[in-house]
Amino acid sequence: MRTRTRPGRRPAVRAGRIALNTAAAAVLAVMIFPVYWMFATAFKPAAEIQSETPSLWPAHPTLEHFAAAVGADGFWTFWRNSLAVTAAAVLLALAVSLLSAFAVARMRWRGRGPFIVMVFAAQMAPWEALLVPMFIIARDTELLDSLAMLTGVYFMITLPFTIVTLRGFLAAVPAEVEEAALVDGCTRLAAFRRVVFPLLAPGLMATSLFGFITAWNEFAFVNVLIIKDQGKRTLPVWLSSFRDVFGTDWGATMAAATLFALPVLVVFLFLQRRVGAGMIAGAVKG
Amino acid sequence: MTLILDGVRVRQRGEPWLDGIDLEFPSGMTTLIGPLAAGKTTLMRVAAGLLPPTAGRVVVNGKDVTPVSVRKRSVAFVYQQFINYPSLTVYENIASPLRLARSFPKEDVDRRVREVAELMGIGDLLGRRPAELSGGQQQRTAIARALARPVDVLLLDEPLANLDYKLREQLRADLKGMFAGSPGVVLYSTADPAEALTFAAPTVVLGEGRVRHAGDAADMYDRPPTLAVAATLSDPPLNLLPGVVRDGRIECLGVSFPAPGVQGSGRRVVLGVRPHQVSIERTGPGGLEFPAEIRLAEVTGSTTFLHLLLPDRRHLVAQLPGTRLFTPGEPAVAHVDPAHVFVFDEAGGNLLATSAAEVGPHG
Amino acid sequence: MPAATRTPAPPRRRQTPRAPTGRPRRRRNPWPYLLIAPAVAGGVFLLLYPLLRAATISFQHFRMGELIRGGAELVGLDNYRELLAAEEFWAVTLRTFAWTAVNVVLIVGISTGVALMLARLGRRMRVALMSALALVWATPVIAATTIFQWLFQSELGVVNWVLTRLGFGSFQGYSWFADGGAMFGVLVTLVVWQSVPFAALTLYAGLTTIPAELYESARIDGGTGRQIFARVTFPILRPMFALVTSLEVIWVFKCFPQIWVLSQGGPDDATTTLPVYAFKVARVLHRYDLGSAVAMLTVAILAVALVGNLRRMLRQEGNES
Repeated sequence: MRTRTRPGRRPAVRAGRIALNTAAAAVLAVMIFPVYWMFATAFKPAAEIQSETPSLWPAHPTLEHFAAAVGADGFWTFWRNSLAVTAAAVLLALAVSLLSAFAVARMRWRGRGPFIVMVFAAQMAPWEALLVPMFIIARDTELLDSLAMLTGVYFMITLPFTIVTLRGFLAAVPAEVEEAALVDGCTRLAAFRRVVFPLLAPGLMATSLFGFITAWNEFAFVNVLIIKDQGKRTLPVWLSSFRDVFGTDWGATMAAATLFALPVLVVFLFLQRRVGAGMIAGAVKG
Repeated sequence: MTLILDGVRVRQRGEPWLDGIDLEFPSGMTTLIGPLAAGKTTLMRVAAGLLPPTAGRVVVNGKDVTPVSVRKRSVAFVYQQFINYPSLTVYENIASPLRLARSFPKEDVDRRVREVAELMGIGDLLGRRPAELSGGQQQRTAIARALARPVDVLLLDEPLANLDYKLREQLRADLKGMFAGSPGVVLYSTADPAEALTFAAPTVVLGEGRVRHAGDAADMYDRPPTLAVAATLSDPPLNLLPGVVRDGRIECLGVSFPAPGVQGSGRRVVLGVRPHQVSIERTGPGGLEFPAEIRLAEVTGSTTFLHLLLPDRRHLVAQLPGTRLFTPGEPAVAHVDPAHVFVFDEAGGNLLATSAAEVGPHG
Repeated sequence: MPAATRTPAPPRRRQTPRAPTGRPRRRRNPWPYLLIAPAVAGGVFLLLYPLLRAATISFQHFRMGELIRGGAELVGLDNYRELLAAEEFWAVTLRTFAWTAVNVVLIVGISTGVALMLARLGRRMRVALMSALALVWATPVIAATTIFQWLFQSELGVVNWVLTRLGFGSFQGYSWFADGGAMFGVLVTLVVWQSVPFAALTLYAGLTTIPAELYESARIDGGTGRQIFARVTFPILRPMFALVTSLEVIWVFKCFPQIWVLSQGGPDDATTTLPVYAFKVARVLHRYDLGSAVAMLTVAILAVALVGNLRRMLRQEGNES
């Protein structure tokens, strides 16, 4: 919506504007404060954290907490696990959903309607209700403490959303563009790769971001599926059990939280402009 | 080089889209003209191989290519919508079919791209992407892409329909003559009679999925064999008036004129008069006069379209040269020279007489 | 009709049409089915099968022993009977509803305010606020939960310090995590804080689709700000509100990691909602059968919101194709 500014504003309007901006600044401050406090604490030396009167920003910034977090037992293992599981789940979901999205958006076949309904329904699957059976299934198939099982679950959690979003993007590419490539002599696959795929870039980014956040954050299943082998844990579990690791060292804990949140924040803020619309569109669709 | 559509029929969702199409196209350009939903696009898609016909064959140079997939055929297609590869530059768009054609020498690609781009007047836009072009430039790119590679069958499906008036005129002028000496078959579809007449190429009139007539566009314009052909080739639309044959004369709304070639007393006919043949001044002796009331005058600048209401509540449109001012509601008299009246059989729509042929020369 | 042609005759109508060569109906194309096969396989093994398994377990006698030895017996509705007879279950259910209602009302209310504010702000302030919202939205759940533990620490936590400074001396060294009500409050704050960005940005996106001319004509008609919201903004955004509300209901109702990490449902079960309850019963008490029954009932309760949502999606689908 356009902001309506007008020459010669009356004082009342100006006062309203100031009030509005003040309110907005307050909302901004309240929203941002917890995240800011995480950063600030992570950089404060222990003495400042322990001080009776907290200072708003670190007077003597230090990296010692980050060193402590990174040096903590198993940090790199968990980091690697998280990255491996997340990347594998996202890539798998992208590949599988591209195939399905293509079939749904470009082909007419018996069962297409029911398939779409199933995908929509799966998007709202009650995953929390599946913790127990997943645990039992994993145990029966000897997939407990295995990253493969975790990857599979994360893949399935992100798959429906990915199909729906990519299908939307695919449907937005006119079929004639693909046809034109066929007329030029491309195979169907080449037509897709050369012509359609580049247009899917924002959709691929939106869906991989969604998958990335989901898998990177996931806490319940990893708690249930990784039982004995601590070396297979991921960052959320590690972070949630920081007390066992750091005791009450809040500097190190906030440094650990920062290291955990940073990849998501960077990726998100970096892609937000290009992806935001897609995320919202996808969210609106389900 | 010939393209033959042999007994082609297309049914989609139970509806006949094309029926009994038997056509043979020679090298060079052929115009397909027809109103909306006449089957032009369907016919072109069948000819290209994008749509398998429900029945019938597509034969190119004596070879049945019906089962051959579109990418293995030597065809190019220009859509009514401006279809280019959005992620590629104009240059890469035009080069795309050349790079894909195995027979085309790689070292000639650059030369050929620049050549066609020059021909289409987009030589200085090669670095841009389609989204950065105007509609006219986008369609020029699409046409350049289709022209780049020599093909057996080049299909242009209403390429100018989505352009605005000025750009259409310009591109039409550029295209005129471009395909005349083409070694391949060029099919150009349009709904605009002016295009068919401008190109002066062999013309096929389509309607409701069938071939209405095939022949020379100017001939068909002068002597439309059926009412449907006359309507398709008339823009602004043909005025239609009811008539009855009686003793070698045709009576119409209280006036009558001799029509020696028309048989059968009491036969009902439809008279077709093009708007520019209607005037409101006496043109000469023997003219038909219809008293009317002025309803509306549309002024375009070079012409004025005068909408007249005849006594039987029927509308008659007169296309008058120049800007003329009229007062709605005032009476007027519409003059029509019987020499410019087409007489169609009401039952079959066939042309019974152009009075012109019997009475004298026409313009 | 004399065929006076100026150009060489063709295109000509072929005079002797051969009998149309009707080709046999094409076989059904296997490609779409091959393309969806991986997705279907994933759904069957990783979603449908576990769901059926959960349903089965909820009708079985399935505890530690059966987990190790196998051979669970069907016991019909015993688990459900036990569950529905337990006072605890009803307390938890009631608490879950209260938890959902409080959170969703706060989320939707605050988000509407923020969205309307965004629409009225100047460009720079709007971008700043939207970026802040995006930042909060992107902050991982577990990171946010950890941050809130730090914010609400009794001794060094900044919240107590601020409250003390504002004159609420009783908050000096106040232990938020020891009291049921306070814990509940902290969790509501956390969940609302995490949920507002998505809801606000979605509603704002909806607001931007309302043409400014509509507001102008409403103002010309003499509408006040509140009337304009009630007569113009809300009716147009109603589907958007329905969407946001139903998504938040589902999200808040199912919310698990925040509660589990912060309180494990405590103190004294004050923050035990249905998902937490199901998890505790299954994993802590090893009553997998009872836990599954709780999960199934949770799904049944949520089904109202889920089905409504699904219908909305399908309606949208119908409008598009």
